Amino acid sequence: MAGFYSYTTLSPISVNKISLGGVDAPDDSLIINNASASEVYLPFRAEHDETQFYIHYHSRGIDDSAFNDTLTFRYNRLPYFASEECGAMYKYEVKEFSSTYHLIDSIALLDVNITNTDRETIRIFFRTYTEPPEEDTDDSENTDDSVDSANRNML
Amino acid sequence: MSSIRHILILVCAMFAVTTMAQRRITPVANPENKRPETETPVVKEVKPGETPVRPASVIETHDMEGRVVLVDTISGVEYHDTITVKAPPTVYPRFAAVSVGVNAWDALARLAGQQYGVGGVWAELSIHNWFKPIVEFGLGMADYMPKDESYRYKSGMAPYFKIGLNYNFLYNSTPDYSVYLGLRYGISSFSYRIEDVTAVNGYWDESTTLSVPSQHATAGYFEFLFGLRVQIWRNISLGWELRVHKLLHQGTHLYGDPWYIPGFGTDGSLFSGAFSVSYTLPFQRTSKKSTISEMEN
Repeated sequence: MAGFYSYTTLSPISVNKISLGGVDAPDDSLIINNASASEVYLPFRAEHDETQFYIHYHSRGIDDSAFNDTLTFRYNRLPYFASEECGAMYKYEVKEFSSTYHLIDSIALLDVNITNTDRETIRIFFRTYTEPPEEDTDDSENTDDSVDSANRNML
Repeated sequence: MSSIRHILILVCAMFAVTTMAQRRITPVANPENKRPETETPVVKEVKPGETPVRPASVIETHDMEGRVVLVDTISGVEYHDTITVKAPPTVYPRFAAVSVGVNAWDALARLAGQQYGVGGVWAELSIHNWFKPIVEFGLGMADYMPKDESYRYKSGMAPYFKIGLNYNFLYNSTPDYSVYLGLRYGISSFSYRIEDVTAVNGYWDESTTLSVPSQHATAGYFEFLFGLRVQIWRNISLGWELRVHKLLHQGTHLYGDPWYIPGFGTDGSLFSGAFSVSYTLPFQRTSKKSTISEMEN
């Protein structure tokens, strides 16, 4: 599980209008399809030692694919017995990770051992800024592009 | 001269009046300390043949040997009466009997479809038919596959040991029946592995087969139990126990913790049970009626 954070305030944020999917995923299927999200489950590939994900931004001005960010994780696969209900699976021991830095500022791993449990082990810090107070309240398009209710927007 | 005589008489009379007045002011005895002759004495005199009345603050209880102990609940002081009390109330001798039994719970459960457990034997020493130290030895194994057949959990045959104590509430009744609470500490050393694992990743449309390597574990656990035991024929008894258990230690394991622990059961379960068939060998043939009549005599 990866959580989204602001690199300026280091607090959780909800990122608007993004699509997130795996590189070379079958049928180009997406995990997030043009929606807002504050966290996302990133499924690692069990038959490979590397998994890549990309983020496409749909907000105005940054909706070009040139602004896409790509995250890369390289890992060792360790078989692991979780419980009677969950059974056995791979536990991924991350050796290295990298990213492009268009709108992503940095990535942090809270635990190098990644499992399929609902526990946040990855933090993705986005570049954000705080909007100045608006005098003209009729500008509804600006409101659409806001990152979260705290008026923090991606650059 | 006459006037001088009158003055001397007057002075002597003044001294005499003053002395008499002082004797009246100073009391001879403190009236507060003086007890009327009709009042009851502080310590009641016990007449011959009369039973002394015990103060309400003093209660009577018994120690482990059955002797009477008087406890002053105000001062907390205990008085052990070793003279007036004749005999301890425990009916059965210190080493009353020894029992050996077979725990057939897991064997019966396997007949009902359980895929783990084997069984155990135990031996118990009866002390006054009251406290019963017990040891248990058994074997356990698992070969478990869930309904979706996504993996097979295997744990080879491994021993377990338990040590503990039962407290029999019917210690002065016939030993044919027991109602007891017990404590156990159990330990087992065993190996386990998981085979034929099918891991399906829906997003990547991948299905992977893997195995979890064999790992070794040493686990210790605690049990608190309630039990009943009934003699059904001669010295043969049947017993039932409901056990609440908790894992105390098992170490850390790179590929995941064990699911089945011999003698304990499966991880995550709070309760387990026991069904035993046992044989009791009494050290001394003791008739309860004869013992009680001896005490009365």
